[in-house]
Amino acid sequence: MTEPIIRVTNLSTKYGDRFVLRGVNMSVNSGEIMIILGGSGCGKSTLLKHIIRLLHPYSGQIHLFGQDITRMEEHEFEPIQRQMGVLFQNGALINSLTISENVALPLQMHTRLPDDLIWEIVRVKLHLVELDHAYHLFPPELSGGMRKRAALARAIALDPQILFCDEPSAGLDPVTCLEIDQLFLKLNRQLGMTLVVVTHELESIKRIAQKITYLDQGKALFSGAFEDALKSGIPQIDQFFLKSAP
Amino acid sequence: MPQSTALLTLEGEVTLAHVGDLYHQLHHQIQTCTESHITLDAAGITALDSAGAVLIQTLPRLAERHQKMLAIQNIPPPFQEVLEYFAVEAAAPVPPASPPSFLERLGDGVYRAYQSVVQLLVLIVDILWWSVIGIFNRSGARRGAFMEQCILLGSQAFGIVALILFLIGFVTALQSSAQLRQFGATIYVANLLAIGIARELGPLMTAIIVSGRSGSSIAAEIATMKFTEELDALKTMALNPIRFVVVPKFLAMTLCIPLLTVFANIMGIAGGFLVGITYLDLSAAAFGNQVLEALLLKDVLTGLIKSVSFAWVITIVAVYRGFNFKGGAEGVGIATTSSVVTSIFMIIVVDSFWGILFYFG
Repeated sequence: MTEPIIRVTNLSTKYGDRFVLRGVNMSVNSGEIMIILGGSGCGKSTLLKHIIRLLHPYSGQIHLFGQDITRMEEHEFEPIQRQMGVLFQNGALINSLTISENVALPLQMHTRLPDDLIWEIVRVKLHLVELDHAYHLFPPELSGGMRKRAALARAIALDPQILFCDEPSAGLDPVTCLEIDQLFLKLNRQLGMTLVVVTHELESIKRIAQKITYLDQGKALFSGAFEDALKSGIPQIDQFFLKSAP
Repeated sequence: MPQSTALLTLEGEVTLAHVGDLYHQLHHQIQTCTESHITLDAAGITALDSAGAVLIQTLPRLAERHQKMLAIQNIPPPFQEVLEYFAVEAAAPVPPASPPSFLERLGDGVYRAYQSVVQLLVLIVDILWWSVIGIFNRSGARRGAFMEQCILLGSQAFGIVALILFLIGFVTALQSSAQLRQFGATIYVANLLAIGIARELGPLMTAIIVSGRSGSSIAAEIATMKFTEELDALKTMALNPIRFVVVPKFLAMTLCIPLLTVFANIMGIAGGFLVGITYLDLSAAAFGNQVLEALLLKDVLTGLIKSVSFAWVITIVAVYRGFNFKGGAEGVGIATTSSVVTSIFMIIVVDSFWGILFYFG
């Protein structure tokens, strides 16, 4: 059996004296779509920030591409970073650069592609998120949803092997939400991209989830196939899907 | 008569890692082939991503630029879809915590002070290290960022620095002449002004103005970048925020503040010169000679050494305050204010240190 592309083992972390994650285990195979879900403040975003190494754990291990990133030096982590894209909750675009320059940034900094090819790739990526018209605009000139779509274009600029998304649907209208989910599925099917998505949007979960990790008060109550989660009989998960259902 | 057609092949992994080389290779082949019609056989492709798809779709246009026609054939069916998709066109209540005792508060205060000192030292080492690296190796920094910062932090500050120093020179000459006139020594206004401005007022006032103008903007910019997760975004793109954001500002300040100081000195003396030739009835030549006689190279150099140290103090304080920003929009305001207050205080402390060193040294 091949090594999972992401493996989180017994991960615990705390802010001050308060444990935010307690012994979380999770694994994602290459080409899967994993949804991390749970109520507000359950540690979803914290878990994501540990996997992308913006936070360091109190204990436990995180393996990306088979390597333990908790014991790595910054320069050892850089090649791994180049194989992952991150979509932040608020977009996190660089406000002093235009939308196209934001998308071009990772291509300019990490590849030696000729300029005309870079700008073609930028155009294609902006077209995918339907922001062709925003090419020369600056982030503050866009709406929240458009900024998020532009940030998604930047996150997939390098065709990363893993795409991490923190609440991609938050603040978006249902139609845009649907379009972004369809884009996720396309990226997953056509490029074999692995996706880790933090969300609690039920419709979105139903559309794209292959595996889920359900967090409750910092503990992973379930981590595995979506169909198995629905049959697991875990009260919190049943309640989440029943209460969220229209 | 059938037209002659050149056959090119595209095979292997047509992905981001190889697209740059493939582009140059195919561009060269298209440029050098003598036939006007080219057929690209893509049957051997084993992997295709969005960069590869863009490359394939760019090739016919590339050929057109060289007055040639390029047709692509035999794209394996699974990759046909990729090519079409990336078409260029188209809880229980928590009991309240008991208030900490005096000893706990004392311990907390000492620990926080210790942490701040450690953070500041790490930041200084980081900035200096990446600045030295940045001079020799440009990768990891955005093209043109240094010049942008020189314009923003340096040349755009010139007007206000020049005006303020001109007025200070003017007023200082006017005030000192009132005293020197009693001894019939009004000509020494030139000496007093030249030494005072070159050694003290020029560098000090320039630093204070730049601290209020540019130091505050650096602190606010970095604090906002932290708030909007821009710094985190840079890290996830394997870009060092110190190198990408701070180093261009640090190098620009190191270059621009001494230059501004030189201009400030000239404008300050010009202010005094105006008083000398109008109010004190001194001739322009006499005032000029007196300035040149009084001013030693050492006076100008000590002023410039001071100005470099002030540039470093302003940048490091502003960056430190920006990185240690907490909260939302309000936190940005606090970071900005504390940056200006701390840097003006530190400028005066460093100035006193230089003053003592140059006086006794």
